[in-house]
Amino acid sequence: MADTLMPQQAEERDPLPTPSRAEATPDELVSMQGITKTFGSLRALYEVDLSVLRGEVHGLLGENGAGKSTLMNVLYGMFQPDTGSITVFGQRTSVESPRHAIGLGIGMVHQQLMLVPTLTIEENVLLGDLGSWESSRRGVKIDRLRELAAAYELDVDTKVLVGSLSLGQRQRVEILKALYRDSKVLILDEPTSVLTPPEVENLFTMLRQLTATGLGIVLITHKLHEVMDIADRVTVLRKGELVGTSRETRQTSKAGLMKWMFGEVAPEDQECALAPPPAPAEAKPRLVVKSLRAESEAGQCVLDSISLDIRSGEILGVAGVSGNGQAELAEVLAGVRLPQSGSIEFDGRPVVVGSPRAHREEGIVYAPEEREAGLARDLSIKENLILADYHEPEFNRAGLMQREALDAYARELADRFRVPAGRLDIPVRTLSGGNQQRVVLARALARQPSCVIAVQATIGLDAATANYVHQLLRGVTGKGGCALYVSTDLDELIALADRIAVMYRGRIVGVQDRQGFDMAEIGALMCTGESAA
Amino acid sequence: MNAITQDPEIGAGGRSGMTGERVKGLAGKLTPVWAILLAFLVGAIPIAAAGVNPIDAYSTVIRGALGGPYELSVTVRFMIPLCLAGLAVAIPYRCGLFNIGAEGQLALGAVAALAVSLYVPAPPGLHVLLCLLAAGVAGALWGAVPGALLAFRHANEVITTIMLNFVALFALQYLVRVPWRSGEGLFPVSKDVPESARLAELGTTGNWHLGLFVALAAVAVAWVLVYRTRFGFSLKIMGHGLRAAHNVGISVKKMFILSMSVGGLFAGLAGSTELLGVQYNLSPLFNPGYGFDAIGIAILSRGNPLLVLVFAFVFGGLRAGVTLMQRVEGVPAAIGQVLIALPVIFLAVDAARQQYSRRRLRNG
Repeated sequence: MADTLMPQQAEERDPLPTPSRAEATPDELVSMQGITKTFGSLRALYEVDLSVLRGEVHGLLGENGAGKSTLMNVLYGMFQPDTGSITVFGQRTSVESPRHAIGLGIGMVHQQLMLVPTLTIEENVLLGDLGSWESSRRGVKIDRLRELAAAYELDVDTKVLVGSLSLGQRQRVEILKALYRDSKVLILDEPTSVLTPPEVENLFTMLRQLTATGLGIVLITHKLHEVMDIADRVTVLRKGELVGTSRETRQTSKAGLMKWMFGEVAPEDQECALAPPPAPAEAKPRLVVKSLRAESEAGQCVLDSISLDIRSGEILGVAGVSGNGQAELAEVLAGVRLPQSGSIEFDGRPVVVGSPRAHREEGIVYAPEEREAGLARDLSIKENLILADYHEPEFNRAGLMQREALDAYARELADRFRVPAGRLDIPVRTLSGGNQQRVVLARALARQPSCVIAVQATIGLDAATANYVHQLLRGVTGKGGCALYVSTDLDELIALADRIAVMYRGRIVGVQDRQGFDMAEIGALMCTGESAA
Repeated sequence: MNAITQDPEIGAGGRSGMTGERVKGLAGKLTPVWAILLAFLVGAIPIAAAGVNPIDAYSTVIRGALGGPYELSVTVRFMIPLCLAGLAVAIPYRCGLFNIGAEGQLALGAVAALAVSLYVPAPPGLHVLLCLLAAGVAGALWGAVPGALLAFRHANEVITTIMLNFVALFALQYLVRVPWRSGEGLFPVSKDVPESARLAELGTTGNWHLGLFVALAAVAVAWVLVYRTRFGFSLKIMGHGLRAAHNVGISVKKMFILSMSVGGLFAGLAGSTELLGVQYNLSPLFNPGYGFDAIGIAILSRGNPLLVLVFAFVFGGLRAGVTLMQRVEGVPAAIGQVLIALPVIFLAVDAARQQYSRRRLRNG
């Protein structure tokens, strides 16, 4: 089934430092053969092979729902395969549980990190290592942990609480946890989705360090460029089937891998499809925000004298390292968070702050980042589609909800936004992440909004769905509306936004126009709050 | 604009995850009917240990509950307060709140009804309505207190409702022992409800009284409220996703207070029907724990008002039946409490197990 990838013109880039290549016989750490796994009627994996070699970074690439995580969960003992065999260090075995996998030397860092925020780094790593409860041996163990931490540049005291660490540092703690347990094979599930560009760079440096010591690393991702950057070999899955494994990433091309991922018809190159229309220079401002100030529950200032305007036809991108106030800004503009002071005007009219419904009346709609902020996951697709509008007079008569009208409305939205569901009365959580996002967006865009506030709307989505989301936003601005789009993915912002505002510690520290986008400058503003010059 | 009003996870201090989980929390695979059957099976063990044949004991329970028109009337007499109190727990439960305060709301409802019956003269018929109204309002206000404490001070409603129960019950005791005490007897008992304010008896045998229709009407109103109105849908959204509810503009704080008041209203009615239809006076023993059985009823019915009626009937039958069992078989009536508690425990264990396995899957 694995056809060989035509060696195509390799893109010009730096050769990778690949220490393992120097070794004569790269030996196999893990080999999975013919793995098939079904969940009910869903065939998640069919006859998939994968091997991990000592000292390699093995990219596992595919769109959302291609089966990447399922395959690795099989290796990690979370699922038992229906058929197929697993060989670990030359020994054929069946991995019964994650505990068993850890015993075998297989570690996994999940996309959602599994750390206890109220415990220290030490406690988190030693958690589950029962021997560490004996105080006599504890000291030795902690010394070993500190050595590991020092070796991999986790330059924080191991006595600090995990809750006080950044996401990048937490991820490092997870990796440390796996290393502490003597993992020889390390699985990373979408590790970069929560990281900022410099953090990604650091992570990759660490991965190279690890492979140099002989570890085999599986990197699950749907980001092509990451694979091109770091992986020694790539395995591509599509709809649960193996498309192929490249012998060396260096001999593959982006276009070739795209073809593997998407089949013959690759989605149009995003940047071409999305080249936004040049925003009219003197378009009238629609959303005008003046000196917003907001505090967190703990009383910390999260938004500090924010003033901005978004013009007709414009997408204002908001860049910044996570946690610098972007999410809070979006919340205030959506009416979900009450600011301490400041005002919001739309088309010259003041908007009641802190009232999502008042904002929606004005045509300002919100597509929040996290699914649980936008969806009631156990309720049906229908109920989630009508979530923002069921209270409207047109759906209620004499105090009673008009179910037929609401059913029809939900059905219409599902069709219009291509939510692929035959039945709308099943829980929304049964949909894939991309389709859940369609539900959130369908609701937001249902009634020709004039301003969309969206946060990381494409996170975790495959290229085709992400593209669709971008088109939806452009559809709003194309009709004279405007949008605020918060993302930590600079590439996305540069492709999508007309202007980019950079936030740092609750302030807007710089705004760039499309003509003057400067990656280095934005990066400097994001990280230091000061311009590079 | 204090610090809490702009908390995006409004009223959710430390409970954002919990609240949403609670409603589905008790939705495992085990159905309530199986849970009850299983409870009878397990309940057979202590009965057998007492040296009684469980089959005999249970058939006596059933005879005591359904054996004839009189027995049925006793079952229904218990069903009425259980059903109304069950609604009092079920409504807040739908948005993720546990109203453990039905007991106290019920007591204050009875107090208000007695006050109006004693001090507000009115013609028969109207007098009853006034008493019911006063009871509903008193229960609603008492319910609003923990709702408001939760909304504005993030005070966990489980704790506040439990504590407010004591306030209400001791208030009742004070009134019964001092100002409203009727002269005769050693045991403190209040003056009687005047004839004009009593819920009419129905028929000549047994305990039938008009309160039955109050309960049935309450179920119908609650059903429409829950399944056909914006209020009910808002409750449901909150129960399954507090943040999503807040983000689409549901005033979560207002709904916390409202749902607890509506719950309190039903509990207040429970107190008044018991007073005006059955007991006619208040005493320290006025309320034999209807508000606590109501918690089990609400959980078994998963907040569905029609099922509240059904389980209130079952639990009412248990209360009626175990009395006969104690008399005939000599098995302590307390076994009835065990039979009410066990199904809830089974459901909780089943749900916990489900959640554990679901979490495993989700993390995968």
